[in-house]
This record gives sequence, C-alpha cells and structure tokens, in this order.
Amino acid sequence: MFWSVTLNLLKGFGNTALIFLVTLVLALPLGLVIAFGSTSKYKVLSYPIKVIVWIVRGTPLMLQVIVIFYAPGLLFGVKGLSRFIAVVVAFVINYACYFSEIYRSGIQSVPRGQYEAGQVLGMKKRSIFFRVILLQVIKQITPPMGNEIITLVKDTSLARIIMVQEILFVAFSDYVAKGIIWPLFYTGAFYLIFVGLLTVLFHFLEKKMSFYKV
Amino acid sequence: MKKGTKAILAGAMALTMGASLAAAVGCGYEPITVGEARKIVVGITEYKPMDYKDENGNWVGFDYELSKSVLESLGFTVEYRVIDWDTKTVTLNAQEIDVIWNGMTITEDLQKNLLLSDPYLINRQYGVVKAADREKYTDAESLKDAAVAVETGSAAQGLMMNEDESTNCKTLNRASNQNSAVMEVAAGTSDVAIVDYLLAISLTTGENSAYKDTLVAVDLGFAAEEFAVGFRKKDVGFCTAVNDKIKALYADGTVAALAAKYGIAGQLVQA
Repeated sequence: MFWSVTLNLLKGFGNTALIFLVTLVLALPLGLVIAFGSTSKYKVLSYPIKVIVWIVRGTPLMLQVIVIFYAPGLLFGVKGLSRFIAVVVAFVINYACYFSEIYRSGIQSVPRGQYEAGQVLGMKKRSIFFRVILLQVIKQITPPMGNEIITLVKDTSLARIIMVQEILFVAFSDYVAKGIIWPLFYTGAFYLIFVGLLTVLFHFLEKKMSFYKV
Repeated sequence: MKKGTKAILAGAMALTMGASLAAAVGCGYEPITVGEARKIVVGITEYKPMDYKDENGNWVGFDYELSKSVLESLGFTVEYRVIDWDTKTVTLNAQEIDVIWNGMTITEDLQKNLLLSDPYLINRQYGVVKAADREKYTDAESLKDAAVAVETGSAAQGLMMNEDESTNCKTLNRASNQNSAVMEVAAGTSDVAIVDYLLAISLTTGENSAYKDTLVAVDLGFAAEEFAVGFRKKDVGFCTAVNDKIKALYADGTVAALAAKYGIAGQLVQA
C-alpha cells in the first residue's frame, strides 16, 4: 500500500514540478518585460500594462485558470487549450505580473547616483543597465523572489480545479475520496521537502551575494 | 535558550497534529444517544431537488424537509452545513457534521467507511451530452471513445472505473462535483457527463438552467442505485432510530407527498 501510494503521488508530483518549472522559466523573463513596460515613460505603453497587472493581481488565480480553460468553449463554442497548457498560460501570466512588481521595486531601489556615475564614466544607457544596475537589482530582489517562488510551489495545487493530475488532485481523488486519509499528510511532506530545498538554495544565493558585508 | 524554544515548538506541533489526527479517526468517540437534547449537524451540498435554496434564499428540498422532520421528531435541533462532497467521509469522522443526508448513492466504498441507513429513494445514473450528440451516446458501450466527466468518488466514477483503475472510456475526468462535470460538457472539454438522474433532468430542462437549450439528458442503461443517509460507524442507535422514523413516514404517506411536491414520485422505494 505504502509503495503504491508513493509511486502514485510521485507521478502527481511530476506534474506539480513540471507546472512549477515551466512557469518559472517563462514568467521570469516575461516579468522583466512587463516591468520595463509599466515603468516606461510612454503612457500609451505603461497605462494598459498597469491595467493588466491590476486585473491579474486583483482576481484569484483559481478564477483565471477556470476562465482560460473553460471560457473558449462556454462563450464561443470553440475548442480551447489542453488542460496542462491552460494551467501554464494562467500561471505564467499571473506570476509574470507579480515578478514584474518585484523587478520594478528592485530597479527603483538603485540610487540615481549609480546611473550618474555610469554617465560620468561615459557608459551607454544599455551598458549602464546591464553592467551597473542589473547586478544590484538581482541582489536586491533575491529575498522577495524566493518568497514568491515558494508561493508558486504551493499554488500549483490550484491546477486541480480543471483536473490536471498534480499531486493534491491525485491524493484527493485516488485516496481521500475513498476514505483513505493519510496520503493527504504524506502529500504535505512532498511540498515540505521541495520548499525546504528551495529555501536552502535561496539562503545559499543570498550568502553568495552578500559581498559588501564585512 | 534556542534549544528550549525549539523543543517547545516541536512539542506544540506534535500536540496540534495529534489532536487533529485523533479527531479524524474518532478515538474515544461518544455515540449520539437518541433523546438527548443536542444539535445534529447535517452535511449537504446544493443539489436540486434534494437540498437547494428557493428564490428567498431559504433552504428547501426533498432531503431538507425529510431530514428536518425526522431529526426534529427524534428531539434534536438541526443545523445544515454545506460540505465538500469529495471529503464527506473525513468531514463526518472529524465530527464537523453528524450525518450526511444529501441524495447519497450507496457504493462499496461508502459501505466500508460509513454506517448507512436503509435505502429511502432509488436513483439512476444518466448521461448529459450536447444536443447534437444525442444519437451518438446511447449505451455504456458507446462511451468507449469518449471523454467522460464524473464527480470524484461518485457512483458514476464507480461505473466508469474498474478495480484495477482501468477505465471504460477514452479519458475519465474526475471533477470536484457533478455541476462541474456537466460544465465540462457545455464547454466541450468532455463529451459526456455521468450524473444523478435528478440533476441531469433539472440541469437540462430547468427553467433557469443555462444549459436547457444546449444539453440533453440521455439514458445510458445503467442499473438503478439506492440513496441512503450516512452515519459514523459507532452511531448504531441513532441510525436505527432514523430508519424506524423514515419507515413510519413512508407508512403514513408523508414521504409520498413530499416526493410528489418535488417531482420525484418515480423514485420512491416502495412505489
């Protein structure tokens, strides 16, 4: 029993990890693009992006998953995305918006003087950003990013609303629905271990980057 | 100092986990005695015509009225609580509710995990399909190449999934409730939803239903099933009292009148 449950939960956890990884890989760069957009001096660009960020951050991720998966069929009678793709699309958009705010806070926390110093040295705008600003931004945003990424691990469980077979879906529909409760606690252990590893990783990264500390 | 705090924290965690576990399995549970003045919490879901809200927002329904009259005549005060149907067994054993009384179809799993009353209604599983697919899905055999949506842990899942977890259809989508299963069909993400007869009829013909023009209910030839009330295993006396009361209400015609009121006269056990 224990073995078959472990194998079954591991299969579910594979899907959990896949949602997590794909979302992370796509949302990290997209978030940076959105951050540039929302801080752009062109209002035609920054205002619509701010509205989108407001909508995405202002509605539950669960609702966004439901809408992206069911709306094409329910409202327009067309075939929509597959379950997994729908989840990934919803997650990438949602997390890119949250990441964009973290990037923005990081970019804006770098003092003006750093830009001016670059200009004094005759550096171009582009190279000031990549060689002077970005590194400080990365150091600055690592803790809030770690926080958000840990939240992402647990948010993957929302995929169960459209029946993507992630670990919590497996635990619920294969065991809890039959009155077998302990796999639910076991599922918690999978999340704990995964988040534990991420915590260690982020701790290590922060330590690596604390080069100004004496 | 740090070590001390850690030990206290660990102790507190162990205590809370232990307490919740104990509640879940019901160690030292005192069975409900009939005649004591106590509140019985009935676990329901919104499920027409068994338990649902009328236009004024008050709960009504066949099971609502039946459970209220049975439990109140046994001297209890009654409270209704909407539960997650997936976890009904857990919710019952955790004592968040005292009975499950919501058009529950008897399954082997439930017989193993709960104490069930005598059957008080007959139920049948029906298919819900797009109106255009009416001819395509006529029996269980025709579901072989279909994506079928059912409620997790429901009687319909039992029909589509075998002991070895193989399925009798192309893909089986296990939704968290029957309404979601029907919505899958409306959205075209599943071909057929298998749900209780009552729900299939009310969703495909109900005046306010968004699906009344697009979806139809089809008889797929599944055998009849029986509805029962679910109790905790140790509540034997309580269960017997409820059985006797329902029998009495059947005998004096109360149940028949109630069934007629909610349009399910065809589902009475002795009819």
